[in-house]
Amino acid sequence: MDETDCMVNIAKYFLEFTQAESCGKCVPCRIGTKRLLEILQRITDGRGRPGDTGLLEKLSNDIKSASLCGLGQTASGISVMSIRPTSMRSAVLQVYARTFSRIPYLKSSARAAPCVQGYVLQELLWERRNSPTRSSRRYA
Amino acid sequence: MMVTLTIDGRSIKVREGSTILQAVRENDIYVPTLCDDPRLEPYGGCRLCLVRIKGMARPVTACTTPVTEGMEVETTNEEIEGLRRTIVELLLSDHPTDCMICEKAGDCTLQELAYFYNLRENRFEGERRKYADSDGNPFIERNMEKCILCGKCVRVCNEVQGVNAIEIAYRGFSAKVCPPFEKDLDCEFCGQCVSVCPTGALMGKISMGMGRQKDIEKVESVCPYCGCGCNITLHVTRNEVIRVSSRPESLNEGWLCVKGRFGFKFNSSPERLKYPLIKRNGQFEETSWDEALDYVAERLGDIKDSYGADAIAGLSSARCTNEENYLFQKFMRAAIGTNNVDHCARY
Repeated sequence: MDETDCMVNIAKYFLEFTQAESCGKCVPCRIGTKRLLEILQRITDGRGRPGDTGLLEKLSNDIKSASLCGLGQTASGISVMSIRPTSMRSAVLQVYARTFSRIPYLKSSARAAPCVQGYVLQELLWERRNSPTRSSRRYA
Repeated sequence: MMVTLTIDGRSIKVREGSTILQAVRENDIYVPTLCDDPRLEPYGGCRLCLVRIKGMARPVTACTTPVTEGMEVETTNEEIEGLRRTIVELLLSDHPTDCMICEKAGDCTLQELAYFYNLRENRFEGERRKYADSDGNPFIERNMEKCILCGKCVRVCNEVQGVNAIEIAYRGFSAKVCPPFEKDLDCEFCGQCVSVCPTGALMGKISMGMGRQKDIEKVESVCPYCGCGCNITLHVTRNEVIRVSSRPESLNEGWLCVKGRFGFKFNSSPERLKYPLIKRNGQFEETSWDEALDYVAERLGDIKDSYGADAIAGLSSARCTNEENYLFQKFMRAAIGTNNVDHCARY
């Protein structure tokens, strides 16, 4: 693993492990980690839905607060830390910035796989389409 | 020793050693639960009874946390309700939402919670467990897709009945309640597990498709099978008993045996004896009570006159009341004049 690896794929790898290790006693860990993995799988398969990153963050935080043992409480941590919409977005934007505009202060080693980059850009588009400024402008 | 704590701003006194959930229940504060039963050991699996305690970093489950002096508990706030909502939503994402044909609809805790949190769409739609198996036993319908793994059935079988017929097998998302080697259930069929199941995962086979929960009239009664006299509740619809349950606050704490819980079909059986029968020429013939009693009195008198009172013996039934059994032995001793009297429960 080095700085060229996609953080989302790494998060998915760790979640696969913790999801397989979940004992199944408490609900947030048993079903929650399964759903986290499904969302990540969706995104990396290029089938991400609008709001998936926000849902991922919300679910991760809920699992962290509600799980019974350390496994559930930390299993979701990987997604909270590395797939937070802001960090994922910044990773993707930084890559784009580096590639296209070469802005020095955005230099970063974080990377995202092409499918994830695609999803993040798509999500930004969805958000812009639904943003109030845009719609108010359209109907003004 | 009493402990004073604050729950939702109310100062509350409870016995030392009780859990927060017990304190909350004693004071009629609503906290949702799925895996809790006051008659069983705390489990802490459903995570619905999460509460905030001042000074603690994360929410804790009320069912497993003992009260301490001066504890400040918050049972509801936006954060906790958000967590509970997520938990119920997660449960529903792995649950067949076929309430319209579910036998348990109207008496289902999960359905109640879905109503309470107004969950129609599910943010977490995804893969669901699929089980093709159906259990071939004669009494208990097991639908493991509806199981929420609260573990109540496993605990009641272990702690109360002491049979250990089922256990949770596999782990994580594949965890499943099943008998050893996933064979068909082969136990006492006391149905304790059916009585504690919060969803439609465990139902009595005899009651399947017999009527909706809303049409049921509940009639309190006493089990007629043995001298224990368990309190039972008959679920009656269209003048027919379709299910038997027992209230947890009854003297038998809601526990019944296979006969009391599932053996009620005799009630509406066409073969049920409703009139006295006298055997004439090798055939039983229906007759009136007056005639039957006269006949018995006459024959008993004849036998006593010819062979003496000790030629007669009486065996009474555990299904009679104390008073009836008392009268029976009184009749044998005073009217017939013999001590040859016994009772089926002595064997």
